Amino acid sequence: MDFTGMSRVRALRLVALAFLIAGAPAAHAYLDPGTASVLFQAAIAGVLAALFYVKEIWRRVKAFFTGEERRSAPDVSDRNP
Amino acid sequence: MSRDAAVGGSFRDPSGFVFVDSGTLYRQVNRSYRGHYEALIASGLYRDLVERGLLVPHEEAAIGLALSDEAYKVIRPQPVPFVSYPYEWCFGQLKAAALATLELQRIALSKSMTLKDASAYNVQFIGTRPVFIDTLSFERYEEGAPWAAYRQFCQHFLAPLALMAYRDVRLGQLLRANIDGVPLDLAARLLPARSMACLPILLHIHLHARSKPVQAPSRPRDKASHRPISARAMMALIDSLRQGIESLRWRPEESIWREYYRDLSYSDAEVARKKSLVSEFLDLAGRDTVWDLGANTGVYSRIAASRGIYTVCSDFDPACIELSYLDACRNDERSLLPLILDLVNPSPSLGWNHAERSSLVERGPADTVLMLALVHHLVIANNVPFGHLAGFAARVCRNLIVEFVPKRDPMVERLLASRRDVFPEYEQGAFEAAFERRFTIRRRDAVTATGRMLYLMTSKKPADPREGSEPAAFQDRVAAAAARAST
Repeated sequence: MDFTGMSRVRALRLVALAFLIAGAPAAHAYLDPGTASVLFQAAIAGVLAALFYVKEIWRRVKAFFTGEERRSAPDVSDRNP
Repeated sequence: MSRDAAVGGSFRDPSGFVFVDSGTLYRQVNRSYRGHYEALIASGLYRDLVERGLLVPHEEAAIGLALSDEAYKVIRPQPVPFVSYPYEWCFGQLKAAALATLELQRIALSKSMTLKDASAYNVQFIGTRPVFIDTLSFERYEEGAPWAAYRQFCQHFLAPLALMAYRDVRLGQLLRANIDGVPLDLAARLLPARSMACLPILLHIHLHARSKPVQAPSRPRDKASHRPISARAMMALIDSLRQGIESLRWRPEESIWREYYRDLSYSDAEVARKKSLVSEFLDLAGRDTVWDLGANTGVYSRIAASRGIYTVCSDFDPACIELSYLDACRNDERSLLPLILDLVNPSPSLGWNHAERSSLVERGPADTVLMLALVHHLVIANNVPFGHLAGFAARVCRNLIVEFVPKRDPMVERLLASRRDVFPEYEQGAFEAAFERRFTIRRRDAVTATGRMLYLMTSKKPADPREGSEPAAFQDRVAAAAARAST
């Protein structure tokens, strides 16, 4: 299990809850969802990168002790459900 | 000639457009895209993606074919055998298309390029394999830049898949009403609260939907006014989306139609006879393309597909198509394309000027159509008169393999048990008379002791999907339909 990542996930969920309570925005013709999406992306990308980093370290530590080879990212081209 | 001659769905992207010349599909690449195109080739990304089967291959064609003087190159992409749309895909197909798009973006980033759009319409299926068809979607990546297609990816893939997995698989049909994907605020409202327990769904749908829209600036603003997103953070974002997609699962419940074959009213010997007749008729009919309409899980589609004939296996039941798709993946069936199609309400032409997405009929005609154990459902359960059914068949195929199921068959008796029999004309003679107005009956064979009949018919005149309008060459229509898939 990825315990190091879990606490960050919880922290992120709390931030998320705050967002949700803030209420849904109204849609308007001159409001620009594209820019909002970019700002949102920039806000979460840093946190996701940190999570990703922690997970990567955890995987390497685990691989070191279990002697498992480091798996490369899965390849979708030969993977069908 | 100008861009006006481009096919209906190909007008948004200033980088180029798709057009058809003498039945062949071309893509004009404009000078504004030159740098990106050169980077796509020089970086080795194009070759890598084509080798992995993720991107449709193309050849460079004569520049003289260009339709306007903005042209930098003209390319000839390999055509897709049958163009299908996300609202016709089952859950597994939409998921495979989503994962393929993310994999493309991951590989592109590793070669310093990025996808500028992530429309589900940029993916087509060749058999069970999702293939990206828009060669002009790749741009050079500059570190710090956001993923411009992030919202589009969430709308086209993550939101519909989450709705199908968490709520109801039929919500995939929202893609038919929303041509640019399911709006995230709508998805967030329809998803159950428990979907928030999945971090990627919480982030990329629920919170993303609530990210505060900003007032569009009255003057063009500096585009880099957001915090730069590092390459590592970009990979993390893509990976989080991948985790979100992979976490979504849908398992078909026991569907009535799945049980159909277990509950047949005829014997094993009669099933074997029907299969051998279908094989024999297929050998006599056209062998280019087959559409099996009302295919259930595709038992008879597979007779055609196993002969190497590219076969569209369609049914209105998402569970049947999911099972058919999963089987096709397991057995590596390359000539079978399972699709969700409701014949009573088939896919219409959609989008701007009714021309961005083609209707089912516009994507035909097929060489051969199979209508097995279907006529009684359309005529008795849906009140479609024989004449209308024959008219529809004549629009979509040249050869027809059709089964007539008489009233004394137990399956028809079951249909009639719950409704008033207002179908006095439902008998073999009237069926044949209606179809003979448009088709020549070439073979007529009994399948069961209850009087089920199997027919091979050939259309009396070339099928024309646009009845009443100028007939166009078949190849032109195929190419035009293929071209309309591209945005």
